[in-house]
Amino acid sequence: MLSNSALHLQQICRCLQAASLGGRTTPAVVSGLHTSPAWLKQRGIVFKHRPSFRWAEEQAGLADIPYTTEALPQVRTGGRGPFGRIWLKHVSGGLRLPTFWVDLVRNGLDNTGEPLVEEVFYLHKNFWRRHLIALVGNGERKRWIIAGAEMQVGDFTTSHPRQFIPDVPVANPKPGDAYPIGALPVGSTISCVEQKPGEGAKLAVEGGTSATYVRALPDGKALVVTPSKQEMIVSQHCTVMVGQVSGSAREKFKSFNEKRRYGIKQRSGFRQKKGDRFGRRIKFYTPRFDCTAPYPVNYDIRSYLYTWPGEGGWSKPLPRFVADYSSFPRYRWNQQYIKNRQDAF
Amino acid sequence: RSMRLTQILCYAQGVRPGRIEHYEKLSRIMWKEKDRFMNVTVPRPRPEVAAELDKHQPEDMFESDRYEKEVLAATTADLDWQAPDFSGWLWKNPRKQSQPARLFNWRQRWEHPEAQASALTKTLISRRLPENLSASLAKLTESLTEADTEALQRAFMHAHHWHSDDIRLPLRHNPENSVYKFRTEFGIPPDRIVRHLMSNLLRWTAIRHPSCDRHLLRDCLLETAFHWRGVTVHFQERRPFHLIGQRPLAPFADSQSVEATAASPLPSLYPLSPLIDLEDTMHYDTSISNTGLGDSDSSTRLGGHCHLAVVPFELPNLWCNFDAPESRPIGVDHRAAAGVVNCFGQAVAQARWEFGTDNVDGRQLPRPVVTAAVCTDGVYFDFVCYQLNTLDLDNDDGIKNLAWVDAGNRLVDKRVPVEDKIRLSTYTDLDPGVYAKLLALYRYGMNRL
Repeated sequence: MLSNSALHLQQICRCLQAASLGGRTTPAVVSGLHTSPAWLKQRGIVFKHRPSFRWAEEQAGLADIPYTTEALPQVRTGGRGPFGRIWLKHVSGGLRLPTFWVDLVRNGLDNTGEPLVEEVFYLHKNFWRRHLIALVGNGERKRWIIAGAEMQVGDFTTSHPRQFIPDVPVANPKPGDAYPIGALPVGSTISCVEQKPGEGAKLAVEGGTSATYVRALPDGKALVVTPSKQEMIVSQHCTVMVGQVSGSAREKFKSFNEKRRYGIKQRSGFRQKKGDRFGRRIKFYTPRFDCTAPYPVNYDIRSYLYTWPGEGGWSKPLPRFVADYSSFPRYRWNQQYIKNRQDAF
Repeated sequence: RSMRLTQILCYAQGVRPGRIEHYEKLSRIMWKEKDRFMNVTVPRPRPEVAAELDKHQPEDMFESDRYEKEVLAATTADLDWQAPDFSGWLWKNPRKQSQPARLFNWRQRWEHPEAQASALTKTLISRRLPENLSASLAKLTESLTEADTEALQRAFMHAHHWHSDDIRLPLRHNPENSVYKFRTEFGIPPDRIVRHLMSNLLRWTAIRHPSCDRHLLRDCLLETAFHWRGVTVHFQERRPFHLIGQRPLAPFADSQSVEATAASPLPSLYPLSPLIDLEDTMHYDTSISNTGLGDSDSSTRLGGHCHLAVVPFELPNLWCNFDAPESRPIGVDHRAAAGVVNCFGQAVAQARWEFGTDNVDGRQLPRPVVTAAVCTDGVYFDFVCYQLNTLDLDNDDGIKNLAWVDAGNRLVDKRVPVEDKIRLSTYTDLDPGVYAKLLALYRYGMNRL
């Protein structure tokens, strides 16, 4: 926190700049702003972090909990945002069924250099996912992972570390195992591809999907074609799963009620004439996307200057799907269970 | 508040008075402040009381408790009594430790139950009753009369259907049809079914087979700890019934069979460790060893040995689907393994009391400790006989402990409707052989008159 004199000075500077730009120094009127870019343009409005799913998780009390294999309740906002008004349309209702926290970092960020051998205990079909999730365990730890198409109960799956890139690619990688892309032969079917090493699986994660490892590029890069036929350049250290993801691709909803069960509320039914803006669009293939390039620095002078003292720009927390397996606590504290047991003492 | 300069700027721009309060309110909503500024109005008295206000003194409804402790201390200063401090009893719990320790928890779904129980307790599990009991089983089955069968039937129906408990039952879930919404139902919860059933059965057996040196104890807390490869595992379980006798049970296996166990290997759990599904707790005390008969101090302990314990499995099982959705039912293997570990904990507590903790930890026992248990969920019965020979759990070599498990005995075929009320469930096929096995365990340590 800044001292009083610094506060005074900053306020003076802000007011002068505001006067020069003809702007206001008090928080702006907040209406009709439903997108993050719109919020970024508004001066003086500061959130602890970007208004995103993280806010909804904090409201539900599921933001900072240790990893658990138990069933967790869904974060339900009803489409409402931080102001109590609708932020996303057509979100309402749905069955009150739980979800499971799936670990998308397959090799568990284990830096010991040894492969991680895990046994598959159970293959589970969750209502909210089209693919199966597998309960696997090693030592004293258990976790959920996305199951491959040929995974069976009782199998042993191996997750190789990111440094494992031999000179000769692996000949017949077992489906369901996890390797870095550089260790696999060209042309192999892969899934659960990371865009950046250690960030978690992002591409080819849905049921029945798979990507292809097309070519090895110089400087430790690889060319991958995603299920939507998009070409991507990723690092050869990105972990992938061999084979196709289990489950089937998305089918058309059979009935109106089935959509409501998934929390999709109907539109108004007002028919709009299909013209230039409305209607189906033909998607053109975008050029190759280079994931190895550094993130573009979005340095907005206005958002930096017009923040209240003591709070600097956006704070970007670690994405929730990254579970640091090696730093998992060995134990799982069930707070409610401990409370019930305290009554015994 | 903001500077005078900003105020002038704001007004110069034509901001309406009252808009700043609106902005402040919006900023409060943005940050989701919990405190709200409430205007508390003084309550107005009723018309009939208003006229007589001079006579009545209004009550001070809004007393402050800021100086409650000081007032209490001042008023009780002359007394030889101190008010108990309930504030923060959770944090001042003397059992709360700084480091976590492992705790046995059968409610967690185990992946390889039998192998895990074997490796954790260094036990060889066989899926049959010991020869001492199976020899007398046929005789006991023949000796059952019509009165026994009728009493058994009445005990079961009373526990499952007739009892007057009207408690809200946990919500059910049909995994095959997630859309079906079950109505809230009231009845007897599964944990109480076990209590009612076993209390009825044990009472009937005590009437039919009386003995002088035995008595039944209710609601015991079993606490003990054992060391597995340097890791301390605690055992804290509640038991609804303990059958106490004055003499210890005779061993199920003789010394020759015990020495032969050194050659048999334990199952391997690669790549898992037997501690995988054990819960962690911060509330434990390694020095305590309580068999449920009183403190570990011999002066306060009710003398006796535990002959038979009842281990309730009140979680979802094969006959009902009470539980959160998408959780697996408990199977026969899980119940057998949990029964074995329960018996192990019981035997460890008994050994620690009989021989002393220092003489027992990490060594072979001078005399085997024998105990038995009935694990049930109201419909399925598992009979476990356990013989503790050694507590040397640091390696897989040497003499091992022995366990005999007869699992999966179904007393009655209880069919709960899949999409209907629980009170419409049907009960068929009563099996008196299950009661004969319970009798065999009950009579094993009995001193016949």
